[in-house]
Amino acid sequence: MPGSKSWDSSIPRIATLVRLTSTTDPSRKLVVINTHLDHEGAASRRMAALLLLQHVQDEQQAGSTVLLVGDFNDGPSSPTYADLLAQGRLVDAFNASIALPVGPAATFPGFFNQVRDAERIDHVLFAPGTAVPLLATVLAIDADTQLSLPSDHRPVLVDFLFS
Amino acid sequence: MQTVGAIAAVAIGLLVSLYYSPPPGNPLPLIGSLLQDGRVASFAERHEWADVVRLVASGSASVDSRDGWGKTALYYAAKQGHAGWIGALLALGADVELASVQGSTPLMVAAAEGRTAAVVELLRAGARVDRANGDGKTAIDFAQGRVRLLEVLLAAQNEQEQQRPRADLIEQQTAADGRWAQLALTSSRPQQRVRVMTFNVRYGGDKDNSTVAWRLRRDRVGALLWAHGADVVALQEVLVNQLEDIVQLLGPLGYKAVGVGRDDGERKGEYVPILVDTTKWAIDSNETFWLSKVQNRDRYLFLYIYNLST
Repeated sequence: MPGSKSWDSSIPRIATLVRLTSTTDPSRKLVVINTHLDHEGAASRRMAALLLLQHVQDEQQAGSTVLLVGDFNDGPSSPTYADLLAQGRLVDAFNASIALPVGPAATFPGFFNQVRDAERIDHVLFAPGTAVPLLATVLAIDADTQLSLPSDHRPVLVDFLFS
Repeated sequence: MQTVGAIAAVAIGLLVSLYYSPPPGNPLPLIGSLLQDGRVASFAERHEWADVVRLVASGSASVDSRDGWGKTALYYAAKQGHAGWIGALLALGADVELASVQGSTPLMVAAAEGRTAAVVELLRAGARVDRANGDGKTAIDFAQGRVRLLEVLLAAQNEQEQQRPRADLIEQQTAADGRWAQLALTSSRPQQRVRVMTFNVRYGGDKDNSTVAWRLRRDRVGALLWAHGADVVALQEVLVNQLEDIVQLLGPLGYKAVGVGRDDGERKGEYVPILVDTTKWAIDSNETFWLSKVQNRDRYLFLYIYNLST
């Protein structure tokens, strides 16, 4: 319901889901879920992650390759992240990248490179099966500039091989 | 008492011969036992190195043969500080990590006896500094009070610690290579590369005179997205005017955006939009859901139960 929020979320939080079919091979179905979890409420992040996992499973059962991506405001040491990766339901592209991941560790350096969070909090997670990440990259867009940076986060880029 | 001991020894021997069966996969257990020759370590203990080398080089005994304490020739060479013989045994293929039944490695005993040259030789062969014996002691514990030796061990420990993550990565890498090969072999349809980007572009609510105002960042964000050419671009913190700018910049490449504002389900509040390169992917459908209890009662029921159980 538009505008709704729960648990300790500071503001309404949403996820966008898109279902895609490859234009070169109509049998190839891809579902991408994009989200931005709350920056304050740790409980809401965890509950939202569990809610998102159910959507992932639904889409997987429908035969699609599923990616869950976005700004989770939680890094690899968090319970949210642990829930998402528990029992191998989702895999972090950075843990499975066949070429070693490229770029800095943190994805939230702030506009002026203060490193707001030392951990990677922007993630590309995938349901294992037909997708294999060949290269996971955190783009260091903040090298040596006097101007304001394009964003206070770094873009995260993953090249998958789909079989 | 001697008689009792002798009877017991015979009884144990009988039991062993009754129940002993060669391990599967080794059809010639006798060769194994010949190679495992206690004399090797005994000669070493008595400094009879020529005999040790003769036994091993002739192929009648393994260089790693152990005595009753589980000690090897290398262990005794380390204890005695014979750097030359250590080199010879290593050249014959001796295992530098084989520990006694007490868990003592050649490196530990060399350190305990203050045999610096031997320690250097063992470290060169890759002996681990962080190995602990049965009492939890490492070579560094045994070297306490010997400054030169401690220096050597600490430097080696430092170097080995730096190498450790690399070893983990190699292991991870080997597993990853296997997955790729497996996928390539088992896949029947042509492979496709899918490039995915996620990027929190920071909401454009900053004032126009701010150094981080959207108008100063817009083209740089657009150029980044344009240059990397992802199939799917997931953005966060996007206000409607930002989304319109981005679609204007990327539209000519074939990108289309899905998503709504979180405040009203239309244009108000931040979007978490997804841009899709429609030259590669056709958009079948899309939806937005609020991460709250009221969004979907069925799903929330599960969460409610989960919440109670944790």
